[in-house]
Amino acid sequence: MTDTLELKQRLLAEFSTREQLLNGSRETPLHILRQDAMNRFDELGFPTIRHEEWKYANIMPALLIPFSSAQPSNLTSDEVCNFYLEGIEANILVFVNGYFAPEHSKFISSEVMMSNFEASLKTPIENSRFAKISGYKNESFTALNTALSNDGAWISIPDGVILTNPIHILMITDSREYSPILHPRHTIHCGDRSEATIIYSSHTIGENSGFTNSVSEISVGQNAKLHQYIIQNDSDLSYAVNSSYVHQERNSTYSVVTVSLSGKFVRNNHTSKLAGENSVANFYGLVIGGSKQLIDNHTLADHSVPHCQSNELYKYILDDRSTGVFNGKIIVRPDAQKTNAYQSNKTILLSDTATINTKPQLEIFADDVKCSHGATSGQLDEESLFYLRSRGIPADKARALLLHAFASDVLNHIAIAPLRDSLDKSIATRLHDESEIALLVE
Amino acid sequence: METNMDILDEVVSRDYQYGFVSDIEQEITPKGLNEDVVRLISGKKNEPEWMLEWRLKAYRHWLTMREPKWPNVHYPQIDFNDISYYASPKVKTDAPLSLDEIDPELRKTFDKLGISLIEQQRLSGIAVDAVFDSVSVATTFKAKLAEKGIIFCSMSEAVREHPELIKKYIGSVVPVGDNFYSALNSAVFSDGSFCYIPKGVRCPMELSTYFRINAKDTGQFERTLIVADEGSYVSYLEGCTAPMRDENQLHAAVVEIVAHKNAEVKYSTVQNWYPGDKNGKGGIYNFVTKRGICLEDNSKISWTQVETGSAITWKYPSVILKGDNSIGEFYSVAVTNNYQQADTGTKMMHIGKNTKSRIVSKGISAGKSHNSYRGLVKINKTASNARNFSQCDSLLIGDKCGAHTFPYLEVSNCNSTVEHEATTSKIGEDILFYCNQRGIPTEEAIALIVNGYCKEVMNQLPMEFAVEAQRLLAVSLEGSVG
Repeated sequence: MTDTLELKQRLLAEFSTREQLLNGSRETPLHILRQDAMNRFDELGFPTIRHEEWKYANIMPALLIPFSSAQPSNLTSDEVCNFYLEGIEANILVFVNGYFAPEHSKFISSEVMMSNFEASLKTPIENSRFAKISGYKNESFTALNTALSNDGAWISIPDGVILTNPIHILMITDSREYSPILHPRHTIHCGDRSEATIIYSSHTIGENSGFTNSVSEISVGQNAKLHQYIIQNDSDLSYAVNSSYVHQERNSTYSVVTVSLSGKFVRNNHTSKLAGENSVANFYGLVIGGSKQLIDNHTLADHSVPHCQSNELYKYILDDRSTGVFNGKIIVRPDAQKTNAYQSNKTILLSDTATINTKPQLEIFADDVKCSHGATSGQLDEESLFYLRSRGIPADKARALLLHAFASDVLNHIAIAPLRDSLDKSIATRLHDESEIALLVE
Repeated sequence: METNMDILDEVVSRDYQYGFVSDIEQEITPKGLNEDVVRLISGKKNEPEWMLEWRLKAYRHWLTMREPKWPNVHYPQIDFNDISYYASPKVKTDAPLSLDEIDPELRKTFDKLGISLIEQQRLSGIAVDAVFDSVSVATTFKAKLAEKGIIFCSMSEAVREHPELIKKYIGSVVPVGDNFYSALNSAVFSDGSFCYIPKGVRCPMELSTYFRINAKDTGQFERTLIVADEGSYVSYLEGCTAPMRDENQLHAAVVEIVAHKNAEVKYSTVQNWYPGDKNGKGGIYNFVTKRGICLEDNSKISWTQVETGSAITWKYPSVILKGDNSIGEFYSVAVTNNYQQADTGTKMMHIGKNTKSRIVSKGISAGKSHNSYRGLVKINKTASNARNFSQCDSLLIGDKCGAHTFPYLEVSNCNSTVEHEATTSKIGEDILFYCNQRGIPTEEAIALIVNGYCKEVMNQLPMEFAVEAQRLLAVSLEGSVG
């Protein structure tokens, strides 16, 4: 217990050190807000498993690791280019240890404003928008990020712009020399009638642990469409808490596909507030769990106005001693009549030591709604396996084929073919059937 | 719209039909709770020393506990020192009564409730144990059951006459310190029913307990223990009502069921405590712990509940599936209207191999009420080939009510299959229109649709109860159209 206190004390100390360097700007509204957030973090502390939302995700072991504040790190372009997405012509924003690395970044779409969080804060308008969507009163990690974040991606898509090239936010954690803790903060504005695709991928270089506590604030304007693909591919020693807060205007569509491949502890909080009529939120997720991983997806579709729709599909394939957690919450507020909300969580357990804890939750305060959720947990269907084997497909190949089919329900929501294919391959690798599936994919 | 208003008016003027108070001389302990009260209750029951010790242990543990805050219900803080923990109809001796000796006023009460003890004995052939406030007042059919070796009596009698059984089983399913209200119940429980079905006996009739709260400012704490020995079968019914009062009254019961090898226990409840008036004033706080254990192989426990009453319901009848091939079932209809709040569901703990569980929960919320389903399905590593199916549906009537689902599924076994599905919707306009068009008024149409919606659960109820439950359902929902 004393150790967990230590990390908290160190973070509090870091905040006061930074505060002293501020000199004159200590009285700015921005800093006052950060100070309030830090106080809130101090009050809340790190969540324990006695906290309902953290019941199945024990963060305590991570707090014993001697994390220290992440510093900028210079990577060679060879090291970075490994993580560029093959076959995709994309704008790339590279962040190393949470700091913007313009030398590795690439801008091809001039109609979009892309920059980093630090630079954006110099404008008063961004200053006033900061933490408006996310808030920080209830989540201690969000409060911590609000207080300590100093960099991240800043993307603003002007009204009516339809972006043809996706934007790739590439996060690299360099843990070769020490165990860094970083608090990246991403801000994405989609103007009215705009459309964009954003790919977010995270990777680690190095053998030490890393802790990423990221927060994204996303606003989707009227009639706008935003597609987000999140690929989590950190090392098996890394910890991540990713919280994204989306605010949707009238007729907007927000879709996110989260593919969690590795990472020792991954917690994703996706919150979408459907604040304008006729808006649609889609959450899709695929989890491939192995070793002693813990992957926790928390989603919240907050229906506050009538005629909105939300869809959720999360699929888990869990092997070894991994643990999967799914907590999907749908809130339909009193005025949100004619809401349609669907939620589904399906799990295949491949070993007796793997565990799934799922909690699909509905909180409904309006009567004219259609809401449903389903959750299943089981194994590969014996009959399907038999069918394939009776047609001459060997058992292991049949198994791989079925798992691939199971996963494809989620992957099919990725519209960029090269990305989908490369994910197919990485998943095949993860499921130890590389050759088998690679053949099937091609 | 006018017709709707008429219906509303009509319902507003309709009273809770069991809301009368019986004028019976009663013995009530002073308000408040301390070790002396626990001793007093134990003394009144002529309990042996070990039982008192057990109660005191529970009381001391209770002192260290805090009231649970996690249920999705809201109510003012309960002052546990403002409740009388024991009330009984005054009688000359504490000896078990024969039917003829019952206070005529009390007999009238039960007649009003529709359980004329004598008549019921003759006609329906159900053995009844009636609990009035804190004390079991009459048990029918005792002799007939005794022929088969079945023990069916009040808890206080069982403590005196079958101490070895009570000692062995009490607290074995719901331990003394299990939760706040069960600890409180263990300390101050006043009576309840005890039932033991010996090896290989199929209980020839339905056993039934009827609970009635009458006295003012009292809490009712009864304890039921059912033990089904190897290869036996019993079906057990429970019903309850209370008078209308402006104050809230507390009811904290504990029910424990033990099923041995090949045994089957079916427990049905029609809960109709006073729900409070249309403004949410008064009503019973129903905080109940019900749990059964399938101790050995091939046993089965089935819970069926129809919950229409109580201002606040907080109960989770659970089954621990310890024996291999054991089966747990939970069928529930929970109806809330006006300002009622219900947080109810079940827990199925799969430990043994090839264990099966089935959950069917139908929630109906109307008025300004809130209805939550909260359930846990836990498949342990040891529970190979376990199977669970859960379905929880919610029906919303009116736009001021809420329906919530909090299912927890925890699976740690790769051979098991768990399925859960839930839906929330309102009664389709088209279905209502279809009924109207064929001359069925809206009110009746809703009763019809709701009964159809609950049929799966109603079918599980024994005949006599099913009729009562259907009527209750219609009454509880009257006036919800508007």
